[in-house]
Amino acid sequence: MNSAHRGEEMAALYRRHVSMVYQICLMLMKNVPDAEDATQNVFRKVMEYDKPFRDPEHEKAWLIVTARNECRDQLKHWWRRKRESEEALQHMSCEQHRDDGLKELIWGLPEKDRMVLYLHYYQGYNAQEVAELLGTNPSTVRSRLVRARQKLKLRMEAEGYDIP
Amino acid sequence: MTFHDLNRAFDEFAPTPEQEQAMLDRLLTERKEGKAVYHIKKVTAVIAAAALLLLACAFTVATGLDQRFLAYFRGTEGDAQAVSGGVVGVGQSLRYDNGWTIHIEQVLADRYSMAVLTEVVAPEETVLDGEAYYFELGMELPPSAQNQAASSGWGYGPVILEDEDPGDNRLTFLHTKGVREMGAETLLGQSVTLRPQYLLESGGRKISVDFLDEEHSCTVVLPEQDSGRTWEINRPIQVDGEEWTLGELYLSPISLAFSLNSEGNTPRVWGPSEMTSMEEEADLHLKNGDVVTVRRVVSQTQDGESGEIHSVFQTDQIIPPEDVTAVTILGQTFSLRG
Repeated sequence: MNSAHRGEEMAALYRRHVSMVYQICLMLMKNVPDAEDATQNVFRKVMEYDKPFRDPEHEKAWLIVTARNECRDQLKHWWRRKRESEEALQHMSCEQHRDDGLKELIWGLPEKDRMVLYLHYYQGYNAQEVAELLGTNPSTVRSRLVRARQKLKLRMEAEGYDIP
Repeated sequence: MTFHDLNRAFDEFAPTPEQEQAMLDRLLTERKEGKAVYHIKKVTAVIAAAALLLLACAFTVATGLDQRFLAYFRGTEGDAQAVSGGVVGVGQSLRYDNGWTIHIEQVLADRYSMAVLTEVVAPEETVLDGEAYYFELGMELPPSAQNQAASSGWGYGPVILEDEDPGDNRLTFLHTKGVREMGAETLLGQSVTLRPQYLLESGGRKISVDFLDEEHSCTVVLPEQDSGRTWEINRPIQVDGEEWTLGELYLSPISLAFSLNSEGNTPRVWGPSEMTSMEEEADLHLKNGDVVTVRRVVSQTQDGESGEIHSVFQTDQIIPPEDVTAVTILGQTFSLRG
């Protein structure tokens, strides 16, 4: 989207994709403030992007790749941040309700596992398409999918979720 | 686990309508105010272009390294020489009564990691054309070699190498393992027993084969020769806002390994979710000015007693250790000169 794009166009694009971009950012950043910042940065980059998107699929793919790259850049700094105290973490885990538990299980997976699961099972991309988005090869994506799904299943079972 | 379970999990990551609106308002307000866009400095990963592998034979002439290994590490015939000391040709076929055969082709090892190339062959009538397969291969040292304190952590499973003919009954896997996962201090000169365990398919027909019904395995002796170099860095490194010590750092032509220690931190401080963030954080700085990002995590383990973290990465190209001048870990760069 170039600088000439009007606010309404930006708002329309934002509404089309904000849910997906935020989901990726929250999955990778693991906390709401950082996910919101990363989401904002992704849409700022769209505003600066000076080429037209070929089609809606190109627009969506561009946002996925940009969101992932944005989070990767942010995560390089993550290690330097102050961690919550042990006491605070214990308090959080006591108050954790079932929905947070699911998030925690996803967050416990390696980043690449989270991304392939999300793109394949939630966004509906096939292995070839996921490979293109993540810059890897389809067979790696296929093995990662099996592995990640199996890991998540085991973790969900261990946490008492009813998995058929 | 069903698609519904997975979707339910990912639904939890969606923003609330209020969050959506607040972020949009901020975005549009900033736009009106003409706020400068925040640019983040990126480390450009300069990856050498993959070499064209035109040789028709299955092994490199000079080293015996399987071409599939060479392709995986995007190496040339010349690069193969750098890893030749770590190559163990196995060439054993394990045949099962259920009609399946596992060919253990070759092992490539260094001090802290090993990679095993296997080919799985299904019975003639079975076509391995599904979306995803997981093949578990046991890799074990004899109890006498398992001299390290118990550790916890995780490692990556196998990678399916490019399937030239998706319509046939064959798949080639590459398994990796880190030394601490196997409970040892070094893999040099060790005898490793390789035992196929099971093959699973996700979705579709859901192939599930249990190889443990029959007692088939093979034992390989890993080379004594070490193709890598070790540096005692012993310098502070900031980890999550706290000071740790980067201890030993090891580089071989196919791997990077290092240890992190902290007196003030007990093992419980580190959890698997924090450790996963390290997989994006290692860069090798080369003599020629290139920066190569190391992304393939072999294993991340933590010693149950001392709390020491041991990380092993595999490079995605063959890089002689002498070509590396510095390493960046968690955004901090450590010189290897001198």
